Amino acid sequence: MRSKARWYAAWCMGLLFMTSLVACKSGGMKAAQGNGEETSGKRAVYYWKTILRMSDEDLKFIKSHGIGKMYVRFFDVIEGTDFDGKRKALPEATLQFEETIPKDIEIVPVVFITVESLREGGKDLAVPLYTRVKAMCEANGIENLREIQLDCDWTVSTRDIFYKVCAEVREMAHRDGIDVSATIRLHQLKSEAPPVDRGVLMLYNTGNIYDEKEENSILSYENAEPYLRQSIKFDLPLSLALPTYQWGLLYRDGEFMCILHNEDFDDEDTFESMGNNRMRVIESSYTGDMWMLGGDEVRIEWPDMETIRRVKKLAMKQIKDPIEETIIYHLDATNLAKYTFDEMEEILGE
Amino acid sequence: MKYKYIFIMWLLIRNAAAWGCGPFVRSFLAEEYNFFRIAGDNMEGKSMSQEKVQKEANLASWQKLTSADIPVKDIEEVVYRWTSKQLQALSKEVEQGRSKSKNRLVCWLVEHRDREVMDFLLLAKACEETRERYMTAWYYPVDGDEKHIALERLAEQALAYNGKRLRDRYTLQALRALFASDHYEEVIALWHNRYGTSPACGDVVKEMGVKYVGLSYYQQGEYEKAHLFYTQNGDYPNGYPGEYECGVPYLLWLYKHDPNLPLLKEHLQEFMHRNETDECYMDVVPKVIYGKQAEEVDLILEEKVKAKDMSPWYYAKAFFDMKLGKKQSAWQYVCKAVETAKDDDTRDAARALKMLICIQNAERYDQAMENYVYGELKWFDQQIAKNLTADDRENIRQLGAFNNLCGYSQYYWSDAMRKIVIGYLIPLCIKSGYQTRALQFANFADNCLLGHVDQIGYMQEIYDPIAGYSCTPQIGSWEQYRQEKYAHNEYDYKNDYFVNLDSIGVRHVMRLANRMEHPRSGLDRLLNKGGYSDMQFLYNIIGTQLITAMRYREAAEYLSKVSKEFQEATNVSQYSDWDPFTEKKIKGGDALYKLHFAQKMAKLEKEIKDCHEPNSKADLMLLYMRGLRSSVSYRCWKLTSFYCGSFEQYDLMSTYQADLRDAVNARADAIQKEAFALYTDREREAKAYYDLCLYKTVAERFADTKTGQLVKGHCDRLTDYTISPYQDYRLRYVPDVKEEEEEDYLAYEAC
Repeated sequence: MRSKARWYAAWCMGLLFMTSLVACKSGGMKAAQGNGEETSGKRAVYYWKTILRMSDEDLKFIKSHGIGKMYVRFFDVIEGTDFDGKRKALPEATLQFEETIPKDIEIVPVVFITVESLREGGKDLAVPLYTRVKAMCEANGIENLREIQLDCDWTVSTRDIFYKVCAEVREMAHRDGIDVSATIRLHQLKSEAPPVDRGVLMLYNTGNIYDEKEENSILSYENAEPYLRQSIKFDLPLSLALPTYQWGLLYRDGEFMCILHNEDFDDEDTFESMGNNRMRVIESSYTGDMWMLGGDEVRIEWPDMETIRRVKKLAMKQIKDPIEETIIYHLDATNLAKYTFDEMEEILGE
Repeated sequence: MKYKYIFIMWLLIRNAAAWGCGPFVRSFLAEEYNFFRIAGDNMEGKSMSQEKVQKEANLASWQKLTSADIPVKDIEEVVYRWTSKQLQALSKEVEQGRSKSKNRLVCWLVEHRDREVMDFLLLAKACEETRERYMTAWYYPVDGDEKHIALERLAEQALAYNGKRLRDRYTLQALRALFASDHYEEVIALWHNRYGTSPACGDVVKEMGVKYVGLSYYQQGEYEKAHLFYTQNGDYPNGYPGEYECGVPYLLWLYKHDPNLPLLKEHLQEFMHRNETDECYMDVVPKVIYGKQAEEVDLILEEKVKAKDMSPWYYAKAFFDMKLGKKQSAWQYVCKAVETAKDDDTRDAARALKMLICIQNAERYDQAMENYVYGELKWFDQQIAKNLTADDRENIRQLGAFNNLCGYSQYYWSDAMRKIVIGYLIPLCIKSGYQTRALQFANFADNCLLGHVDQIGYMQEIYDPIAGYSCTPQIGSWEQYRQEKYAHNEYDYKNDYFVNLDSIGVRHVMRLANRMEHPRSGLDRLLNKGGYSDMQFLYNIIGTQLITAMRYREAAEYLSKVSKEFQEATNVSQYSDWDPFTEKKIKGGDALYKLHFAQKMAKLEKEIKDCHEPNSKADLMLLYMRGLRSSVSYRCWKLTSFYCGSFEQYDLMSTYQADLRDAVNARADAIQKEAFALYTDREREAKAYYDLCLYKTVAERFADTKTGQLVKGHCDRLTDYTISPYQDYRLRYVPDVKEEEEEDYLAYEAC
C-alpha cells in the first residue's frame, strides 16, 4: 500500500512537473508572440489583392468558418528605379485600404519579396521594409500588431541575402514585441530554416506553369508527394497554407503566355471547350495585360477537394511537430464558392 | 555643345545611308508633320508642361522684386540651385553686410541687407529640401510623422508672415507644405481665403500654387473642381479620371463650364497631336483615330452658348472633316475659320489649313491653282521669315538640314509648307503633267527655310595617309559647305528635290534649268529665290543623266558649263577615276572626268559614222561599246550616277535610272554583236576577242592566228589566263555574253 501510495505520489509529482513544463513552454511561446495574448484561432486566410475591400460574402465566410486571422499582402518588393534615379529594391503594388479591417480579426502584414530585388538591394532592405509596414499599420488603424510575414521564393543563390533580411527584420520586430514568420516552399524544406519565429508551408504552386502538358500546376498529389515522402524535421513551428483559387493559363503554340485571373471562361463568344478543363480562344480579346488570340489555348486550374484532402493528410502525417494553423489561399468569394461549407470546414479543420 | 549636335547629325545621316548619297529610307515623310494648330507653337505632341515657362516668369519676377540689373542666371543659381547650407552662409553675410561672391543677387542682398528676402529664401529652401527628403517610393505617409511635423511647422512659419512684399511667395510655400503634409482641405481653404474661389491667376507666383489646389480637390474626390484648377495650370492630373466621367466628353465639359477658357484650345491641340502621331504609326482608318474628338467638336458647335471666338472650333471641325474625307464641309468650315478668326495666329493657322484642304481636294493642277498657290507660297515665305526666333535660327543652323532630310519637325511654318508642298502639291503637279513645276516646288520646299539661316553645321573629313580619316565639326555658310572639298554635301544629294531630279526624267530637268535661267512669272522668281539656284548643280545632274541616256554630245555641252572647282567639291569626286576604255587608274585623277568621257564618246560616235573600213569601224565600235559598259560599271559608276547602286524602295523613286542603265547594257550588247560581224581580218578579230579576255574563244576559233597561238602557247594552264590586264573588267561581261563566252568565263572562274 505504501509503495502504491509512493507510486501514486510519484505519478502526481511527475504529472505536476510535466504540467509545469508545458505551462512554462506555453508561457515562453506567449512571450515570443509579443504581447502575451494567445491567437484567437487556428484558422486563417490570405488576402492577396491590391485593394482592401471586403464584400459581404467575404465577411460571412470569415464569420461562419471562425477565421481569426488574416494574412494581408501589404506590398511587393521589386527591383526598380526610385525618384532619385537609382536602382533599388522598391515597394510596388501597395495595398489600398478602402475599408477598415474588422477589429476582431488579427492582421498579419505580408510582404512579397522578389529575388531580383534581393540581388539589387537586399542588403539595405530590412529597415525601409519594416518602417513601411509599421507606417501602413499606423496610418490604417491596425493595432496590436503581433506578426509580420516575409514571402520570398528564395533559392540557394539568394538564400543568404534573404536570411539576412529576415534576421534584421526580426531584430527590429522583437524590440517592438512582434514576431516574424516566413513562407516556406516545398523545395525549401530541405534547407536550413530561415531566422524567423515560424513558417508557413505553402502547399500550392507545386507544378510548372510553363509546361503545357502539366495537369494542374496549382496542386497535384504527384508533384507534392516527392517532397513529403519522408518525415519532416524543420527547425520552425509550421502552419499549412492550402490553395482554393482558380486561374487560367494561356498558351500560344505550346508556349506559356500569361496567367488569366479575371476572365469569364463561360463566355461562349470568346472560349470554346476542348474538354478536360481546357478551352480554345475563338475570339481575340484583350486581357488587360496582353492579347488573347484566336487559336490560343487556356488550361483552367483549381485544386479539387480530393487532392487537397490527400496532400494535407500526407503533410500532417510527415510533419512531426504540431501544425500551428491552417490557412487558405486566398480570400475570394468567387473561388471559395466552388467548395461546400463542409468541404471548407474539412480544409480548415485540424 | 553645338558641335555635339553636328556630330550626331553627321553620324545619323552617314549611318542612315552607308552608300554616301542618294535616296534613303526617311524616318518620316513630309506628309506626316503635325499640322493642327490653334494654340501656338507646341507642335511636337508633347504634354504642355508649364514648368519651363513658369520658371522663366518666376526669374523675371525675382528681377522685379530685387533689381532689373541682376542677370537671370545669377538669380537662378541662388534661388534654384543653392542648398540650405549655402543660403545659411549667405544669411550670415547679409547680416554682416559683406561678401566676396561675384553673384549679383548675392551682392544686391548683402548691399541692401535684405533680411526679408533672405528669410524667405531660407524657408523656401527648407520646404523644398524637406519635401525632397521624402521623395522615395518607400515613404508611406502617416499623420504626425517626422515629415508632417517638419512641413506643418514650415507651413505655420509661412502663414505667419504679415508683410505685403512677399505675401504671395509665402502663400505658395504654405500651399506646398500643406499639400505635402496631406492637408488638402487646408490647401483649398488657404487659396479661398487669399484669392477667392477662382483658379484665375494672372501672376506667376499664384500660377505656381494653383496646381496644389487642383491636386487637393482631386484628393478630395472633387474632380470637376480639380479639372478647373488643372486646366488653369495647363496640365492634367496624373490620375485623370477619364474623359467621360464628367458625364459628357472632357472638352465639352470644359466648354460648358467656360467656352472662353484659354487653355481649352491647348488641350484640344495636345489631343490632336497625339492623334496625328498615332496616324503615322497605326495602320487604321482615320475614323478610328479622329472619330471621338470629331464627335466632341460637333457637340461643341451645337452648343447654344458660343465662345467669343468660335474660329478655333471651326478650324477643328474643318480639320476633322478633312481627315474623315468630308471635302465640302472641310472647305466650308476652314473658310469660316479664316473669316471669323479674332487673332492673327488663328487666322494664319486657318489659312495654312485652307491651302492644305484646297490642294487635297483638287483634281488637277491648272492656271487657277497656280495663281492661288503663288499667293499662298509668297505668304508662307513671309511667315517663315517673320516668325523665326533666335532660338529657331540656332536650331536650324545646327540641325535644320538633318531634320529636313529625316522629316523631323523643326519649325511650324516650314513644316506646314513642306507638308503641303511635298506631301500633296508635288504629286498633284506630276499627276497633271507639270513636272517642271513640281521640281521647282521641291527645290523651294527643301531650301526655303534653310536659306533663312546664314550658316550650316557639317563635318569636315580630312584624310591623312598615316592617321587615316579624321572628322572636324565645322559651321560655315551654305556656299562654304557646298564648295568644301573635304565634306560630304549630304543635303543636296539626299533631299526630296534631288530624289525628284534623279527620277523624273532628264527632259524635265533640262526644262527646269531653262526655267530657272529665264523665269517667266512671279512664281518662277519666288521659287528661284527660295530654292538652290546654282546652275552648275543642275548642269552637272543634266550632264550626268545625258551620259546615262547615251546623249554624249549634249552631255558634253552641259558638263562644259560646270567648273573644275564645282566637280572637285562633289561627293563623288573622292572616288578614284578609272579610265573607262582601258580600266586603268587615271594618275592624279580627272576633275572633269565626266566631261572628258562625254567628249570622247561623242567623238567616237562621229568617227564610227565616218569610218568605212570594216575592221577599223569594228575596232571603234568595240571601243565605244567598252565606254558604254564602263559608264554603268562598278568602277566607273560615277559617270552616270551620284550614288553607287540603285534605290527603288522609296516611294518617290522611279525606275528611271535603272531603266537607263539597262538600255546602256542592251545597246552595248547590240554594238558588240554588230562589230564582230563586221570583221574581215581574222587576226584583228582574234585580237579584239583577246582584248575582251575571251581567251578560250581565241584559242579554239582563232588557233591559226598569231593571237591564237599566243594564247595557246602561253596559257597551257588555266591560271595563266590571269595575266590579262582585263581580268576584273571581264567579270562584268558575264551576264550578257553568249554561251561560248560563258565557257570562257567559266575557264577564268576556274583560275
